Amino acid sequence: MSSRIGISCLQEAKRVAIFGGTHGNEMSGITLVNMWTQNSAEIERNGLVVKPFISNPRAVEKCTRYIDTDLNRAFTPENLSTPEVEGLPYEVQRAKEINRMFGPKGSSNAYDVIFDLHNTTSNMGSTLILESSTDLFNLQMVHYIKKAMAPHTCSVLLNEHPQLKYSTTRSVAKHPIGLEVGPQPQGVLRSNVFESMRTILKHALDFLELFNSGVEFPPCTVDVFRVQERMDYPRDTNGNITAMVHPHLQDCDWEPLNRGDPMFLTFDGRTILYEGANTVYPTFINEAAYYEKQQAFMTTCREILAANAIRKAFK
Amino acid sequence: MALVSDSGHLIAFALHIQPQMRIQMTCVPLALEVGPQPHGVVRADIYMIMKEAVDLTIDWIHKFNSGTVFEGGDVEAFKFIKSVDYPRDPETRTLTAAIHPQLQDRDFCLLKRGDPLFFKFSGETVKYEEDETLHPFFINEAAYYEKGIAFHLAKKLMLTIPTVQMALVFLPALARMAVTGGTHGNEMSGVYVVQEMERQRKEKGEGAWPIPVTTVLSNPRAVKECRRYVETDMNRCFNTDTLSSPITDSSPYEVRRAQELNKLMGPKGSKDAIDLICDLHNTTSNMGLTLIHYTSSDWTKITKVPVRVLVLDIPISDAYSLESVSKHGFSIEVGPQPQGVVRADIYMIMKEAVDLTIDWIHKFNSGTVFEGGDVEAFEFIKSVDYPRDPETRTLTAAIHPQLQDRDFCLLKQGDPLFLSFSGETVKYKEKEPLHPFFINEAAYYEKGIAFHLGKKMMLTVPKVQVQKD
Repeated sequence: MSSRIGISCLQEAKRVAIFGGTHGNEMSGITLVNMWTQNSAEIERNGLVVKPFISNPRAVEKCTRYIDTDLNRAFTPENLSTPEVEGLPYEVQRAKEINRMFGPKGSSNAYDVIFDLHNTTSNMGSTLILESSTDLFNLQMVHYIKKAMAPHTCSVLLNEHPQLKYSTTRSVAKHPIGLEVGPQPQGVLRSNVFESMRTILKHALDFLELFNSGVEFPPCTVDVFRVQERMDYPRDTNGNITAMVHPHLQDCDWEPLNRGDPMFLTFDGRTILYEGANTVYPTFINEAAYYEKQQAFMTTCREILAANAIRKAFK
Repeated sequence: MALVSDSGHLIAFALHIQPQMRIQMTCVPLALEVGPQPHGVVRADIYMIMKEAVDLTIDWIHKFNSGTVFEGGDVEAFKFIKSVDYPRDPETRTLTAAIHPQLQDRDFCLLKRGDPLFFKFSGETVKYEEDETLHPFFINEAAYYEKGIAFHLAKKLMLTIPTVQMALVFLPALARMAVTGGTHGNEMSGVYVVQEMERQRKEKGEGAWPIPVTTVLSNPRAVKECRRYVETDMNRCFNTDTLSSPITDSSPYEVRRAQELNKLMGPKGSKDAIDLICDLHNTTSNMGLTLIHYTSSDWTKITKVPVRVLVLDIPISDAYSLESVSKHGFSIEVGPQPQGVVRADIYMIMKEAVDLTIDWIHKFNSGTVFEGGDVEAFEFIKSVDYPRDPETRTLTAAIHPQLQDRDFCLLKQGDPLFLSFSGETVKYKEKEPLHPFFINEAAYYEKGIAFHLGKKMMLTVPKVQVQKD
């Protein structure tokens, strides 16, 4: 990577994929990908090839999150490196296949950018998910998208936590971006959520086209929410939850949670308070799919990330 | 005029003449008496009063069967005490006086000691001698001369409907009704009302009235001869003895006819008997019209829980959901909440609904009277699917943002339904405004349902109490 002072020159982003249906019941991405597979006009841009792709077709067919195991947790080095063996869970087989088609993960042949489209039952609005605080390309893209969406808010979630980050489907690409839009129930297509996701992708592809055409993007900062902690529901000895997200916390994604604020409400009406020392910013509050992952919400802290100017590297 | 009943259920006008004298074939007999009108005459004003009374009765029954609450209240009623005969010649038994001019036409007035009763042909006034003030009625009824009745005397009382505990007895719907006229062949209003109703039935078919109504001309020979009766007063023939007496050559016509009517609308005392007979009469007395209604029912709907009511108009044998296994089942639906998520606010609403249900059932079983009320309800009409690709059947549009989350709103012609992915708005095209619900239910995509459409209606839930054995 050559550089002039302050400007990072990065490889052009030629091979781009849009994944829908990583979770078979998150309808916005599934619908968009199917629509663009039929008619790709909307996603065509000069200087790049954009491939719409259904990552978990069997789960999509059944309108369920996954068949055997969560595809979006399946791209571990272990899974990806095991030799082909019969009897692997469907999603592990699928992960290997996706790694072959769009990776291999970590290699120079991997796709440049993968957008992985998700919905959440949490009131997160439009959210972009980053896995690295040092991926300048992604930071600039996210900055561009946020500006283009304004005044519509687009939050940025950074999951760089050593224990809590996970091996996502998109992680086979050089520049993985997660799109998470909610609230939307599983199995439901809401027009406003659908159109928001569509708009985010429009701006993202515009950015890629501009970048590939040689446009220089000046230094920028990006406000992000960095993942801190996973908070589980109170549970009994059998593992059943004994309380719900408190009504005062429900739907309050990205809003400050302070010590002494209500956090959970037991089924018989008792309030449990947040006891943490510092103010946190909860997200993924009451996501349906996370009950089984022992997560009522995630706590985050606010951070400002800085990004150098970038432009496409000359050949 | 008086509305007469001697059943415990439908207390109309409390004229307690000996029960066996009424047409008493059903659990709810009614007599309408309108006057004054001479025998053999049909007066338009009297006819219209009687027709209106019949129409109101039918309308009331229809409303009653539909579950309308009829507020109780206090009703002035008159309870028969005794009859008073004319002054007569002791030998010949002919009248020696007429009803005094100051009493004539003053039915239901208050008769006090010293008030004039009769004006003798010889010029003396016969006065009311008793201490107890009573109310005369059927004053100078033509047909009662031969019965030795110048007028009846009654005590006024207040009926509070419902009166006592007994008044709230479980009452099933009144499904079948008959209107009978010409029980006395010269009381013309009833004869002509029945005739008119039969003409309407010919013209409009069974839809002439909101409930099924049978019309009967009770005593056709007497009507033909414009006489009260041919051989014997038919309105005294419906006691069990007469109804069950063997018919011989010497049996009076009216007895045969009574047994015929008993077969047609009874048998009296059996469960096959028609629910209500409305028998039409006239009187020469100036009795006007008095009408009282009250009702109770076996509705077991909960009125306190503020949820909308959906009504599915399918027979119970076709009902497909679990709660239809029970007699009075219903299901509680609360939203919005995604599948797999428990929201505290939604949970609390549902818990409260369940607690209220249990509380209501407990109170009902313990005998609490529940006041009725109006419940907004929606009757399912039909479902609407998403626009789909004709080949692949995949969705080509989503619920329009202006419809999303607006369950039970009023959808009018031209309102947006769907926003297609290509940007077009699909609009509601039908003329009839309906109410959408289950808008964008996750589980309904596979059923081909984007939303249901319902018609709004008001369910009036009557006052209820548990049936006592």
